[in-house]
Order: sequence, then C-alpha cells, then structure tokens
Amino acid sequence: MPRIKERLGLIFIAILPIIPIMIWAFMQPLSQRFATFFVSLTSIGQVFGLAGIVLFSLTLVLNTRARFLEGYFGGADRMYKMHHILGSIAFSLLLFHPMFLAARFIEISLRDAALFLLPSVYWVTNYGIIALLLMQIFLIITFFVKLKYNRWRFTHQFLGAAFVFASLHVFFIPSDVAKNLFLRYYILFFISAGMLAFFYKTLLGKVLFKIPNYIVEEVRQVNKNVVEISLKPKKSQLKFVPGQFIFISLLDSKSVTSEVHPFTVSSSPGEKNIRLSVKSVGDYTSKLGQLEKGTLAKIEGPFGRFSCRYYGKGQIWIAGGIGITPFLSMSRSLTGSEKIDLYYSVQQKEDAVFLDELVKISSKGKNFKVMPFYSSESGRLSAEFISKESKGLKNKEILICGPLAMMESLKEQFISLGVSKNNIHFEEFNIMLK
Amino acid sequence: MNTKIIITISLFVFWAIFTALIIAGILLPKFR
Repeated sequence: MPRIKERLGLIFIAILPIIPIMIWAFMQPLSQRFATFFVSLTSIGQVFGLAGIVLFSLTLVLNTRARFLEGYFGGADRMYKMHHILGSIAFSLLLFHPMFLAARFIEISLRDAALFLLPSVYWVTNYGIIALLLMQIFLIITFFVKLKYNRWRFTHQFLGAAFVFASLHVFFIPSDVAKNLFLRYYILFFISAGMLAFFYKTLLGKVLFKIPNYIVEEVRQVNKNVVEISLKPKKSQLKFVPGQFIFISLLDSKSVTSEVHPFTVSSSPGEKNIRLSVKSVGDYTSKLGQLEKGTLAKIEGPFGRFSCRYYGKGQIWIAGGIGITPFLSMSRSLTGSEKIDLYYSVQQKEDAVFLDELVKISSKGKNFKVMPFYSSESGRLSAEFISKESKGLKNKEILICGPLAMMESLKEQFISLGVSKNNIHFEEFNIMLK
Repeated sequence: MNTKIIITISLFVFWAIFTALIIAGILLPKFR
C-alpha cells in the first residue's frame, strides 16, 4: 500500500499555511516586525489571519468530497476527519486574529483596544467581524445543538458564508496582502478555491445531484430493524471496491425525503445491482422500509479506503452490529486465496443479519472463518479473545467496523497487545455523521 | 472529540477577553 502518497495530503496541509507567513516574513526584517510590543502583537495577529484564511479555504476544499484527493489522505473518512481538525484550527486562529490586533492598543488605552473589536465605519473591518460572528453562530449550532442529520447539513453549510465575508475582509483591508503581489495572488488563489468549493457544495452540486442514475428495484425487510435496498443502474454500473460507501439521494419517494445520506455498499462489485443494508436508527432510516419500488435515485461515489483489497492475505475482520455491511461486500467478492477470520459481534442471535449467508460462503473454502459473538451471552468482544481464536496477531491486518466506542476500545487493546497502529484499519464514516 | 474541545476553549477565551475589554475599556470609564 503506498503509504507515502497517503501522507502527502497532510504534508501539503502543513506547508500551505506556512508559505504566506514566509512571504510575509521576507517582506520586512523580523527584527522590525517584533521591535516593540505594538508591532509584535500586530505581527502575531497578521500571522494568525494569514494561516487561518488558508486553512479555512482548505477546510472547504476537503468538504467537496473530491475523489481525486482521497488517495492523498488515505480515504474519504480520513479526509473528513481532517476537514474537522482543520476547521477547528482555522476557527481558533481567525478568532484570535482580531484579539492580538486589539491587544496591541492596551499599552495606549483600554478604550482603544475595546473599540477595535466593535463594528466601526470601516466596512472592510466590519466584514471581518461579520465573518467571525457567522462562524461562531454556526459552529455553536453544529457542535452544541442536537440537530437531525439533514438540518445539521443545512446549517453547517452556512459556514461557507462566513468564508465569503472573511475573504472580502482579507482582500480589501490595507495590509501586507495588499502590498505584496505574490502574497496577494497566493491568498487570492485560496480565496477562489474556497469560494468555488463552497458554491459547488451548495448551488452547483445540488443541481448536478438531481440527475438520477439508479432505480430502486427491490426493498426487503431482513429483520425488524434492517432493510435491504436493491438498486438497478439506469445506464452504466458504478465501479467500486468492496468495503466502499456511496452517497444516495432518493429523488421522488413519498416515504422519504431527498436528502443525501451515506451508506456502505453491501453487494459485491461483480453484481449488476447495488445493494444497501440499512439499520433503522433515525427518522430517515426508519422510513426506508416503506420505500416504493421504481423510486429514482442519485448515487454519488464510491468513497472510502476501507477494503480488504488494500492489505495482505492474512486478515482479521471485526464487525459490530450493522458494521457487518462492508464485510458483506468483501465476503461476497472473496477469491479464496485470502486467509480471513471474521468476528461478528451482536447483542443476540436475532441481530446477526446475513449470518446464514456468511456461514455459507465460509463453508465453501477453508480460508474464510466466520465467528459470531453474542455479547448478551459472552460479554464484550476483546482483542485477547480474538488473538487466542486466530492463533496470534503477528503479520495480520485488522479491519474493524462498528460503533465508535467499540472500535476505539478494540484499537487500544490491540495496541497494548503489540499490534502496530498501521495494521489496524477502521471504517470511520460514522465520524462524518457527527 | 478533540475538535469540540478546541472550539469550546477558543470560544471561552475569546468571550472572556472580549467581555473584560469591553467592561474595562468602555463600561467602567462611563461610571467613573
């Protein structure tokens, strides 16, 4: 697996906000930039602003789900995680950018320092204040107010509006960005990239997203909580690797809304139809059982790097509940040469959907073992138990998909048993729903 | 969740400094 390529995204993200700071540092000797209390705080404020706007732009770019970027981050799930981390760092930097600029006046007068933070007759400054207020309002809503997924998505995208105001502020304020042509173009590039990403996600993406490419062919209730939806391609089939996920919008259903939702594909790439196995966990998913045959759908993807195809022949798969779905796709497309132990942890027997099919697949060859684990009878599935059953963990790649708490706990346990972090892989797309 | 902690701390510090500056720089001098 090309691990260097997977780290390139992170390396670029570390370098890109530093470049404008270096240009800024070359514009004037640092001894002058930090000569007095006043200019030192001005300099820190400027550095925070420059790095903050570049990181804000990158946050929006990562949010586009651009598939060509996925490989540089090691999967869409990691890209989303990075989107969250960058967003919070950008927010903090931008929040303290005016604080440092205001604090430089403390020496002169507290009144001047306080007035600096309030709206004034200078609209360019006010754009910055509006941007910060919008960022705060929408971040508080998205992080601290419990919203339904579709409402969360709707409010979260307004952070892009904050970027528009921040861009106006940085571009028109008489600062180093206005003085140095190279810095000006550098910042302009990131402003344009961020704006394009924002408009693609809000307006353009919405128009493009409405062209259907799949039709619901069958809806089957697997058990009282899980429904399997089979979708037939209108023209060409979606090419994917087992374990990947897609975003789906059901366009003309009377039962469910057309909001976009992510689901793991549970069928094998060799099948004509795409199958999604969905557990009822919320408003949207609980209505999927009533979905009408013939409903038009738009499927976008595939996304994700969670697949047996990327790792060696000796693998341990661990599924918690409906976390079985990526492994279903992988099991259905096994070639027989892989040596795999699948641990399927559920609360009780009735919850183990598709177990019969998995057992049937495993009975065909010697290399694929399925081990159901019932937590109501045996307690929690532990790394020690897995190590014992699979006769050691050496040279084995471990793939885990299930509730976040279970994945984190097992990761810790495997690391304490001496497994390298690089050999533990997660389907982390539930992080994206947070 | 780390991002939530970063955002919470940033917001808290920002509003604490902002409030302190407004009180000390604008409100208190008015009552003197």
